[in-house]
Amino acid sequence: MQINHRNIFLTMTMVVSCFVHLSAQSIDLDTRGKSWSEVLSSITDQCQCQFAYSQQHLTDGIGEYRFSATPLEEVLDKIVAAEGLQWKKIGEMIVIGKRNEIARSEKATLSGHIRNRENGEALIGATMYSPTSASGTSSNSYGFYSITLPRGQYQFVVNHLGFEPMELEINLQEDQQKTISMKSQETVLTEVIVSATPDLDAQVTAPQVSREMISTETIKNTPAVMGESDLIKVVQLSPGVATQGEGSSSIFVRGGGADQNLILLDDVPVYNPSHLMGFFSVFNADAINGLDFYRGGIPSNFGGRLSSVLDIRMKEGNNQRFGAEGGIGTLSSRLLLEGPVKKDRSSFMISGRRTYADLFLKLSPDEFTRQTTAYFYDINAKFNTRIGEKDRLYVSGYFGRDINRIRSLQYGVDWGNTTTSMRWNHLYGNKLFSNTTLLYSKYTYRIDLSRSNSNVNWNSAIEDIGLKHEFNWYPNQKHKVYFGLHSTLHHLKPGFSEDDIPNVQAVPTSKSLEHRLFIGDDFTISNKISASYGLHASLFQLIGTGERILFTRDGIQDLQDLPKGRIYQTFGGLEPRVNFNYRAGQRTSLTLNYQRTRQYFHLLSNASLSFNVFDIWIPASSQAKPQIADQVALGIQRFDPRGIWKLSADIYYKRLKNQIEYRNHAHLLMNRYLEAEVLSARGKAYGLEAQIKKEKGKTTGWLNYTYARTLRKTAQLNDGSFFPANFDQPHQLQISAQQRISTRLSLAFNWVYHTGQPITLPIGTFQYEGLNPPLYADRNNGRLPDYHRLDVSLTLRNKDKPGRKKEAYWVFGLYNAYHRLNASTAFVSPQLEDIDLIGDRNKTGYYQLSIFGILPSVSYNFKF
Amino acid sequence: MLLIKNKVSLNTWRFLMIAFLMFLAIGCVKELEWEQTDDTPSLLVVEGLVTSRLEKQYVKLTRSREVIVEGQAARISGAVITVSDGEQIHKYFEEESGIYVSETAWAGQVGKNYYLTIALDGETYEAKDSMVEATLPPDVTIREAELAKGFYWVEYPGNFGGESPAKLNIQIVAPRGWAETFPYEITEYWQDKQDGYSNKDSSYYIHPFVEPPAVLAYGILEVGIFPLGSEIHLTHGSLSPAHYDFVRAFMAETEWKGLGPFGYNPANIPTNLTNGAIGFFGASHLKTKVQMISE
Repeated sequence: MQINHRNIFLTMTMVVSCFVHLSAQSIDLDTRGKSWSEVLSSITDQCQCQFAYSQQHLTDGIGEYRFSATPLEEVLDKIVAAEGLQWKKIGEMIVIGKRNEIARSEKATLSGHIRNRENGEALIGATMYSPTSASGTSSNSYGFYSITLPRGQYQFVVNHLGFEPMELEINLQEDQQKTISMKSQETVLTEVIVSATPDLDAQVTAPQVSREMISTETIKNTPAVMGESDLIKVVQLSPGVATQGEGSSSIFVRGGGADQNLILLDDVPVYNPSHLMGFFSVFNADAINGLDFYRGGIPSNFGGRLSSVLDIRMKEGNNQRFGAEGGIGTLSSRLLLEGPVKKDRSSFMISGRRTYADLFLKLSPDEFTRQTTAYFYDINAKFNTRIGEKDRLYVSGYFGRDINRIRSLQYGVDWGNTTTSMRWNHLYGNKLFSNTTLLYSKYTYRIDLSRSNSNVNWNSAIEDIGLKHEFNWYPNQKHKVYFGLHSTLHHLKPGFSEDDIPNVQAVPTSKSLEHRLFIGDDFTISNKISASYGLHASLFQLIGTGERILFTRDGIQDLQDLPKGRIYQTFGGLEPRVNFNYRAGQRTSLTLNYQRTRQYFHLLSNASLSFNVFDIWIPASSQAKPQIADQVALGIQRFDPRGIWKLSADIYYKRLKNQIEYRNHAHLLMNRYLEAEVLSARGKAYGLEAQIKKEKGKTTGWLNYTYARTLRKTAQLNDGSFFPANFDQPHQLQISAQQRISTRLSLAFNWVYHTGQPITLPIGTFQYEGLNPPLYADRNNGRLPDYHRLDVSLTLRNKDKPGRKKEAYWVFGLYNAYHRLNASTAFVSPQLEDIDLIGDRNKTGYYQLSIFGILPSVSYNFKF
Repeated sequence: MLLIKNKVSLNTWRFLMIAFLMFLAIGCVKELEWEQTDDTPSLLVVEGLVTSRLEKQYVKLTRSREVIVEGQAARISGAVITVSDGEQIHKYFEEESGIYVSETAWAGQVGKNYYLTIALDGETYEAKDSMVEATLPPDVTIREAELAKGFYWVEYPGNFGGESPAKLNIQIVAPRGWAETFPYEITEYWQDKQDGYSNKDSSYYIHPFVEPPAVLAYGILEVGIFPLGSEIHLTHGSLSPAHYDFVRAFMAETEWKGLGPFGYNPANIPTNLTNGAIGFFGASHLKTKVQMISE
């Protein structure tokens, strides 16, 4: 029969005075004819102590004992042991029970949620640390925390980036639930007082490596293209992250491809985060609560991508009062509404954004421009409600679309994402937290050229329906265990024509099931050593959809009929993840990480520009085998004792199997046999990432330097030697800083530098049919000129007046402030007079295409 | 001004400009100062074709050159060239510098393989192509001009959806004396206004399936205006599979060039020449049909 603390305390006998020294107290006791209850009462009367026990264990009569002036310890040893039980003094109490029950009774659990005091939003990743016990915990993705400690009096320090540190005094004598409400530093107008060194302890002992937690404030304070705050662009300023071309939303993490990043929005994968061909991401900063970015040390609860995880959370909506937030900018306007449906219990958030350049195009004197439509919009919505004390329900969704039309050319391109999730949080007691998510994600695009002589329309879609069931278990202060199961049905339509146009080749659709089972543990081994380790098992099953094209190494082999619904091929494997953290002194920690990741999808794209919306996803197959990566990283972090500065450096080595390269002139779009265009390659990546970061004070920011090499190798290219991948950028330097000049005025800038990306450049030309095609040597044998850029923004806030609830601020920005014309690509062409105008066909030259020169922007933002 | 071409087309760079930077209008192209590589190879370039038409067949020899060039490639003289079908050998002579033509007119035949041999500076270069049967060209679309009754616009066939790959040649010949009834001022564009005329730039490749970069490079081409009784001569020249592979790559590296979202990764154009020579020696069956502009 299981017994818990609550049973014990419900049945315990209480006395008023304190228990001091058992051995110092002697009692007289005669148990004959007495019940257990009477005996314990007698002891209580004599030594002024408390007993806790379960009546279930002490129902039978007590044996016959007589004690005279006998030390209490001796008395208890005899009478309790005779029942096959044990006793122990815990705090002020003597607990009688079985050995495991006593062990549990020694401790109590403090659990609850950490929230933003102003709006009730869950704070993710807030740390809670007890310096006296050198124990700590952190809030999970829903703000939930739990810590089990020996009963006693504790002081906790709670920290979260952008919030005022809190100190809590907790008398933890029994299990407690406590909601911790933190105050945003935005409301603290005085200079930040740095006093809480315990935060340093939490950071030094934290086992997470290669993880960035990026707050909404950081996103909004970072200068951006056209003043559009963009979290992907902030992630691009992290060490070890490369991007491709100007203004791209793609990220390449430690040698991984653009497809190797798991981008989750409220637990739902987002397959393409691009608006406007990638110049902007789909994430409206107003609607985002924050994100965790893992470029290494990926916890075992994440899977499906090789290189990184972006775990993005939407705001839940203010559960205290109605509010609005928005802005009018050079490119777009946006509005967010939020408020309680029932105060402290349920809330909603809805936000929308739309660009309006197309409205100005209609004013153009040029008819061609007037016939052009180009805009994007997106909507985020979320509702959450608490159901009783143990359950909470979340429903959230995103819908966004880019629309581009040129009527006179009968040209149109649309694309967009749809995501929906329903999540149910449930608490089993105060140590076991569960979340169940039903998810739906879809990315589609459509190319339409409805011309009379060569009608072309092309559609592509990837669709996921999934279920996640995850648990966080906090058994004691040393362990935080997480485990769960994910299952997803993927439906891929790599390409088809709506009207069944004969000259457009449909690519066979595919269906697949992906299952993931994982368990992990964050284990505090000692004051100096902690570990985070886990195992992730994945299984991928391809399901028949009617037909299947079989490929050989040299091309197409056969067409095979496959019964619909039958599983015809299965892949799977284990993915161990291990992080060790060693505290080398008060301010320094060393980390060692190993991770294996598997990915069952490939993204085919041979565009070397930043435009990345025409994605072609294909499942793993015999031709394009599952991607596997093994990564080892060693890191050091050193903290300033005042918690202001942080220095970190990581070195890593990564080995990648079954990567995709392309045959010469690979034809990917609108190609039924596109899998025949891919080559299997292996890759390796290694590098050093160093960062100096200042998180507190009037000036904040970071400086990153990354040395990184990313190489690929396949027998069919470059004589089978390693060659630089398209996104290999050996040297990267990023400086980002924000300076608060006054309570109203702040200045921010980014300076970004990286080595030019590899490019295949000709070494000669020849003449054929009057044209001058190029001659090449090896793939990626050259490099574009080095890239660098400065972005600056100035934020001017409205005057603070007593009682004024409305916050408003202007942001004046300059993207590419010194008008550097960085090359997005280079090519050899007949002499050009303009971007689309050939001057002399008999002359050739090297040309570079630049996307952005200097781009000024201004936006007015408000919140009330 | 008389509109004689109603061309709605878009090259790749213009597409990039318009489609992706529509409202920004800030992208630009500038010439790069690039150090010329010392590794520029000097390769023999062969451009040759055997057709099924009874005519003097030709082969053109040039050399590859540096990346930044001006003017025509240097032609190669002094080669000894023969073309054989396995039975007959046709000798070629150098008609002008680098241009070699067969000594007699001859016609290739469908189903035969043709072998080119070039002897030059002690080296021998060879190539082989087979002549596959051409398909019939498609009809063109004709519509009467709104402002000039009796005169017609001709819309060229699209570049995609051919039964098989082909090179399409279009010539439009107006009836003798057409200029007497032509209602507008005659411009330079017209050729041989008394005896009929043909429009320029009338050869292009037909691809069986949509080629994404080409979608952006080409548009609708409508030419005109032509009087009643004009003859539209449509000729399909067949391409062997190897020849079409060459043509696709050649187009990808020239007319379709542009590393945009639809572009192909840059790579060398395949060849059927041996011994390090480049270019292509092809054999093409020609099939012609004539379409009349009538009421």
